Amino acid sequence: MKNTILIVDDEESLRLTLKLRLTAQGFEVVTAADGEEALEQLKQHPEIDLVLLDINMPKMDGIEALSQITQIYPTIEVIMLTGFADFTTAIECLKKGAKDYLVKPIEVTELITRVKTALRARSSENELKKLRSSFFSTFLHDMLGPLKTIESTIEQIKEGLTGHLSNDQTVLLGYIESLSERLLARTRNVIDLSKFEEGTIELNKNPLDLLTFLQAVSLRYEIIAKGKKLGFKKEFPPSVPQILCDFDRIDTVVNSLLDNAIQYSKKNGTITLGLTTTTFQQDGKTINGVQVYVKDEGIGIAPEELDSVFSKFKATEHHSAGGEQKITQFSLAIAKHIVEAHGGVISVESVLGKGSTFKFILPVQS
Amino acid sequence: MSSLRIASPITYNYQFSLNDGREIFFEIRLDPNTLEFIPSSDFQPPEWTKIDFYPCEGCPLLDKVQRCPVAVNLSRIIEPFKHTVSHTPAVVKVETESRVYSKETTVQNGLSSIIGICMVTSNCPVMDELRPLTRYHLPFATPEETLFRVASYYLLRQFFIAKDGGTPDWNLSGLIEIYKKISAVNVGISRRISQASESDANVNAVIILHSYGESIPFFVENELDEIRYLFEQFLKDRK
Repeated sequence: MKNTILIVDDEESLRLTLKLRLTAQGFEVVTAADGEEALEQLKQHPEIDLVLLDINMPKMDGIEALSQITQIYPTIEVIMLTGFADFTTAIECLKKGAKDYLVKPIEVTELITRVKTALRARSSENELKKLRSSFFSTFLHDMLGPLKTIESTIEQIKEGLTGHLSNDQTVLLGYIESLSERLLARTRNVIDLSKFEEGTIELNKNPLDLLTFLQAVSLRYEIIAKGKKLGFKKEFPPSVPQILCDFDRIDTVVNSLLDNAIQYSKKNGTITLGLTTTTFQQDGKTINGVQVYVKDEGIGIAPEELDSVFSKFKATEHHSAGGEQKITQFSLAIAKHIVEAHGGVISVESVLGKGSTFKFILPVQS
Repeated sequence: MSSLRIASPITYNYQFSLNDGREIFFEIRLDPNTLEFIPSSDFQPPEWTKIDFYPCEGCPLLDKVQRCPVAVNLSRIIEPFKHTVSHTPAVVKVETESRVYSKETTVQNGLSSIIGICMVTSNCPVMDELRPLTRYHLPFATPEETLFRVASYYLLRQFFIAKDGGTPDWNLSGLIEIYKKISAVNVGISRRISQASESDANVNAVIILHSYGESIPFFVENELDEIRYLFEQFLKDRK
């Protein structure tokens, strides 16, 4: 398959001549005259593999465009072009995620070599990612079997298969069981995450009354919160419309948000689990939905970290009730995938030191 | 002497009207016989015009002159634009003896046009190869117009060589060689100008010329296919 290159330069003759040369090398080429146009072209052409980006341009310059491209399209390679040799700018661009940097006037043969090198590296990285992901997925699936066996064996021991258990043995077995459940749940989450990323997840949707479901969930979390000396408040309306969803997955989302709230709450704080009807915008349409929110009075999230709360492998350093911890927030990344797979939206609002509110809205089926 | 030739200097008057209100004028005067740039007398060239300051790769004048003739010519032009951003909008008007051209463009495009004349009329042996083209200078030429003009010029040159009993280069391989050398001059000159400017308008003007120049060998290697369509009606019977 041909690689597609986006040339972004305010000078038409440069766009033309570069396009001609790259096309002759077998590349598909699209062009843009400034950063704004470049972002529009990237939206229109998801097949773009690499961007040649001028720095000094009207409307939106190359540095601003680079920031947005690397954020929105992290797998696209960017090579910066500038007519004014400024190495401070070059370093800034490389720090912002540009793959390479060329000072104009550019020898086209040199440019073509750099483009091919960047694309080769990208292709190798993608292959490596696929290989890693496939290995990881196989490894996790292999783990599921033994974990399930551990769970069922514990169950059999509890039922007296190996004779009567002392109180101490029952307590220890309960501890092993809870650890095993946690490990099993996390393993399933990681498998789910990779399925979401591959687009191979299948949802088993059925009608659900979220009010009844949340009332049941809150029974469990009231006990957990009490054990942690935290308050637990419910804000439920008398009724909400049914939604069509994969119950197990939505259960995962709610549990993730509540676990997260408990994890980061300050001592004697209160956690609120709420439910409301609402509307939200999607593709320019207003959609009726049901909103679930989980509010805590915990440590909060710094404004600069809010954007990456739902990122995979997002490791944040928090001072939780249990002391300083490093948490890999896999569960929030999965929650986002699940909500979006249901056509919903998830968000977070937070004030550092005062607490956070996580909300997700699921569409009501008309 | 040809009856078509003019006796007085050939002039190109460039007027830049920038959107920040600045009006900048240049009068380019060329000797009608040699097409050499006629400099104004009261001019002290700056340091960056010295021949050994970022010299071009393969410079044929390195040990022969004190100052780079291309840089000396350009230094008269680039000073007013050394703080100007390349994409600053401008209306550029060019007056010749025969007509007036005007274009709403950017500073870098207008400068590219004027810098092109200054480079090939400077007595640099590399750039001199294109000097006859300045007699019929076409401001704001597109890549296709440039290709047509350059190929036509070079083929006309071969016609005269053949008429004089020489060996003409009908496959245009000499043109590729000329542009390879010109490419080295464009790179060298852009390095010099980078040192003399605090913004990118001047450098980008040379970069535009360089990009045109880099395309010519490519077009020639592809047998001028890009402009062949203009001649199809004369080629039909020969297929």
